[in-house]
Amino acid sequence: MWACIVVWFAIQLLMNLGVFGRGSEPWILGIPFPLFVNLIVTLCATAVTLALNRLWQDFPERAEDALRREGEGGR
Amino acid sequence: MSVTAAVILVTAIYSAICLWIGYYGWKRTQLTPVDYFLAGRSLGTFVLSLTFIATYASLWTFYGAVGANYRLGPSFMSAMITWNLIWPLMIWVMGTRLWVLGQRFGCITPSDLFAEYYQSEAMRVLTSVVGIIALIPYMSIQLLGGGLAFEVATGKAIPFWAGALFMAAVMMVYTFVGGLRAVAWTDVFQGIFFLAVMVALSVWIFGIPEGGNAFRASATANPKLFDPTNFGWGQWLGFVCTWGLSPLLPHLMQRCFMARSARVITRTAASLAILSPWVQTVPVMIVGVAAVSILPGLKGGATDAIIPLLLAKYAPYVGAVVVAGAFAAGMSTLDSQLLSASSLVTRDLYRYVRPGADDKEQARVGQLFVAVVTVVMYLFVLTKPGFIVVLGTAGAGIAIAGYLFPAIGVLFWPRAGRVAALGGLVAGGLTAFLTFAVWQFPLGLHNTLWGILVGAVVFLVLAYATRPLPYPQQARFHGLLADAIAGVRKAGP
Repeated sequence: MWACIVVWFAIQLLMNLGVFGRGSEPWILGIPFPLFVNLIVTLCATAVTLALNRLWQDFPERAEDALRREGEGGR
Repeated sequence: MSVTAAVILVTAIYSAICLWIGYYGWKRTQLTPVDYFLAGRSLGTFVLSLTFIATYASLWTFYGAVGANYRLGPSFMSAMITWNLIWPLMIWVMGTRLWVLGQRFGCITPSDLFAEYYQSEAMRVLTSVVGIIALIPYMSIQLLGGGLAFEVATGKAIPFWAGALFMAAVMMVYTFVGGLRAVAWTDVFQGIFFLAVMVALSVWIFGIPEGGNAFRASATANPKLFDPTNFGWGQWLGFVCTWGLSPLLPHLMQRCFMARSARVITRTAASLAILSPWVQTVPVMIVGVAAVSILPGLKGGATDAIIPLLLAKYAPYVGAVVVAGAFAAGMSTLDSQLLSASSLVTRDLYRYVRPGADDKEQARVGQLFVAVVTVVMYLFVLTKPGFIVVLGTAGAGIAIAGYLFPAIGVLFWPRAGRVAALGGLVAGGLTAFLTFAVWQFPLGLHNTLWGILVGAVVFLVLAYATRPLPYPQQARFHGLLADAIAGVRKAGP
């Protein structure tokens, strides 16, 4: 997961440094290249972020149990 | 009906809805600090998600970000979409831990948490003062923008002072009476309204005569627009760090304490990962980039007025709805910051004036500070100080670069003791301030980055050079976190 996030961050930063070119060519589906790359990378990043929801699916029970064990949990 | 009358009518309807929601909040709010400032830690996923996004998106998103996309193209959008993905991620990484500790130790403000962990009153006062310094200029920006939006939309028929006064009065009344319940529920209404206006604008712009082939036309009008290096990596990284780490700002950190359950906080993070980059950021980019060909030749601050200019040219009556949309974006941020500033004063500073104040007195004092801060802020904004934006950005950077290090100690790294946390807070916050106000952006690096870099060096050196907190104190926090996050209970040193 963290590797995906680092890759996504690196692609965005490299784009900003001009590594993938500095113009709007080529055009893909009527969208200029830098914008297209941005949208695709962001789509992947959103999917990775949402995958966290699956990875953390046990967290609520663990957290509530831990607070209960502390004896002073709740509000 | 004149445009001015339409603006007044739509804004009056919008304000009446906000006040009605405020009344509804007042009927359900008890006068205790936890109920007044945190809605009794009772928010569900829907309300928490929308109060997060509405608080996060401000008038700057509505005006400033559209202008920045116009000037810098996808280079700025790349930064904006990156920080709009990072901050929901921070809710997972940090917000879940904050929720657990907030429940266990009854924290209402970030200072409550830091003071309880580091057992330091100096930490309480410093984090509270830094939080207030960060919030007040940022609040003023919202009010300033609201007054200007009214003035521009009505062709100065309603002057700046009257627009700002109206906005301040409506916001103060519902915040004063209804506390966080009113703020959160108005945020739901304002967030939906603001996002709907932004999405509708991004669809509408393709329907106007010059909008059909807007991206190609914009590339022709400004051949450098799609150069991904426009923003400059030092500013790119600085903006990403500032707004990606913005859950460290007091009013956003407090939202992590408000969730009804642990499941609510993770579901909120998931919904924000969709709402923030896609529903908020992409429409802003479309309007900003398409406007390059529709309204060519705008420079500097004039680009902040793209939305009013577009509507004045093609749909003047729709401008009334957009003024209300701008009000929604500004008020939803302002009310949360106002209540947060009030809680910092009441919980963290008033205790030294009246150490024995009971819950009811604290809530009453909280209400009083809501009113006092609103009046002071309004009088300040009447002077139209040109440095508010400078102060606002510097303020956010100071709080983020400062709060980062005590937060790392509480949430992740028990090796960092009291001296390291205080050192990181002071060094990070002070450097972020000096690299904006005195020596602006040395070597092209953003002030938040300088604050984080210098603060990190001081924090690390002091963490290894001084004693950590006693083990039982570490275990109270980190033992609980290990148990809640990983299901592992640490048995001993």
